[in-house]
Amino acid sequence: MSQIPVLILILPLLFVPIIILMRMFKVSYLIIVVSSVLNFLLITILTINVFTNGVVFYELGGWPPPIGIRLNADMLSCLFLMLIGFMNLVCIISCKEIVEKTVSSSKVYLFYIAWLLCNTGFTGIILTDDIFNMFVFLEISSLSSYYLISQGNQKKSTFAALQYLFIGSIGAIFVLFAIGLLYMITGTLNMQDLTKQLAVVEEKQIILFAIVFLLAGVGIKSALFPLHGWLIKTYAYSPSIVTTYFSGTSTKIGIYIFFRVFLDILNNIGPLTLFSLSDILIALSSIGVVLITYYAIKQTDVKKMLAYSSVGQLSYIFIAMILYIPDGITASLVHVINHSIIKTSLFLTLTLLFISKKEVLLTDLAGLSSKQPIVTSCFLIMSLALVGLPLTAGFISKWYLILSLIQSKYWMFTSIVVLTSFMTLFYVWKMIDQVYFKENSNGEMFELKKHQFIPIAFLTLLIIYLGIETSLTVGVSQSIAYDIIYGVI
Amino acid sequence: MIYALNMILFTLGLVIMIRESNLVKKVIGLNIFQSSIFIFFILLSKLNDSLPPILEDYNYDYSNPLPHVLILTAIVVSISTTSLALALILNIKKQFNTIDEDEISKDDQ
Repeated sequence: MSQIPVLILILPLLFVPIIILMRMFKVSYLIIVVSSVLNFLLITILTINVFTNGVVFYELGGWPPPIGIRLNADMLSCLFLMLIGFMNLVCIISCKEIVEKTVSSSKVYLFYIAWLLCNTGFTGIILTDDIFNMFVFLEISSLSSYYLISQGNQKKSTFAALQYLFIGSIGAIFVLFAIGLLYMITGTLNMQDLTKQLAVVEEKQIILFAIVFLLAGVGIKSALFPLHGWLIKTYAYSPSIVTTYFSGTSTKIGIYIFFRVFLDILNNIGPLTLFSLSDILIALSSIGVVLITYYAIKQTDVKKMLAYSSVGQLSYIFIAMILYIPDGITASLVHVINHSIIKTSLFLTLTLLFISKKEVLLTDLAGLSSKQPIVTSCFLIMSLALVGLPLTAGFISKWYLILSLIQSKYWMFTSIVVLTSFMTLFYVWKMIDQVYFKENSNGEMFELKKHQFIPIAFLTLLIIYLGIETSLTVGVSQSIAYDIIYGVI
Repeated sequence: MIYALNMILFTLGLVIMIRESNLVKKVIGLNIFQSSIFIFFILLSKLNDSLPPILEDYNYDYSNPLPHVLILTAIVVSISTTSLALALILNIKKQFNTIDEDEISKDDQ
């Protein structure tokens, strides 16, 4: 049982050379499906184990923690592992035809290899207990994601990938620098050890310095407001299935690193409250939400609109996290799950409807309701969940977010969140307007086959289920939140 | 003193990456930027007059070997980043027939 954390990491890496040796795209698709299913099964077993018996450790090479690298699965990591594993599985199952259409058949196996490596990088970041190891996994996932983005069939895809490479590398080097600073004052890289050592460190200035660089580095990865530029281009120009995959995973990994570093490692010294950084960050994110939502309303390209919307929602997650009260952290975690599912399902629907189109404009959606009535109603539910209508998953997280803002007496930010929620309605309405009330002028058929409908329907049902039955998401998030605030020390 | 020089290198790399519009020069800037962090890690390991950590007897101060190992890993990461960046630039050259960032962005409108 204790071998599972390392199996989750090793198995995909074992499948990579097999794909390289086979090179046929039918076989490579089969292998990656097997790998994803196995991955998800292992994650499920691990999660059940962690929730019944507590934290699972695995010491690599049998070396005990301060010297060796340890893999560590606690409730927080299991939550994110389930999320990543599930999103990966959904995208892999529904991606076969899309990948065949967008990527040339001689390169399909390379595409799948990059995908596997990317997913392994994500799971590695979540599982590892060593802060330098985290940097290495971050780079594994980033490098393979640059490749995935460059495979888009638009002219500017390669350029978008290169720009993401530059900004992503700067972010990674900032993280590395911060790790160096933390190592300088504590002499350890193990996260648990770091937590203990940092509590007694005298040089608060160096910790502040490290925090600033970590904020900048991880902020780039998770597309916080002033650092979000790459996300728009990446989402707009990468292959649409990659956009679907990244919308649920990539930025959420950034949020996970925030949780791990700021609420776990730096918890003992009260990192953000101590240096009164939290007020500045909340103010910055609030300005960000308003601006970003305004930009989203102005867009005509649906992918770009949803990308801006993602940045806005990530700001909500970030605000809720740095409030540093149990309800805020609960709101943040619930919104991570709900937003991942909602955004992935929206992108997946668009991807499956417009498989061979390069960019999806708002007018392309016109007349969808008469051609595909069932998919349209699914699309409507997803869009309304994005706004946060009751009985959908989006409502739950918005509710907790507003509740926690009121608890912390940030009245202005509460009104900003309510205001931007209404502004969300504007751009969602622009889509719904096209879908229901506009005639299809160019007479194009929507390419959607019967069996592709299954993942869309499943995700829609999941959105409604998570909107009604909240004990799963909220319950787990709440216990993690109380663990973070009252459990440690 | 060396730390200050190192920070100059750090800033220099960053400025090159932001200011230059030539993509290859940007990659060079990235490399300078990364090297400054590598040097920073190596500086951490060095004590005054310490010798290489080859443990024949324990009678001398030796520098900490761990940062060296970490930086070996980071250098490998840096090499792969650079090679991927150059490969992407080759593709960009094929598509746009230029490697100047401003001209590619001009193409956009």
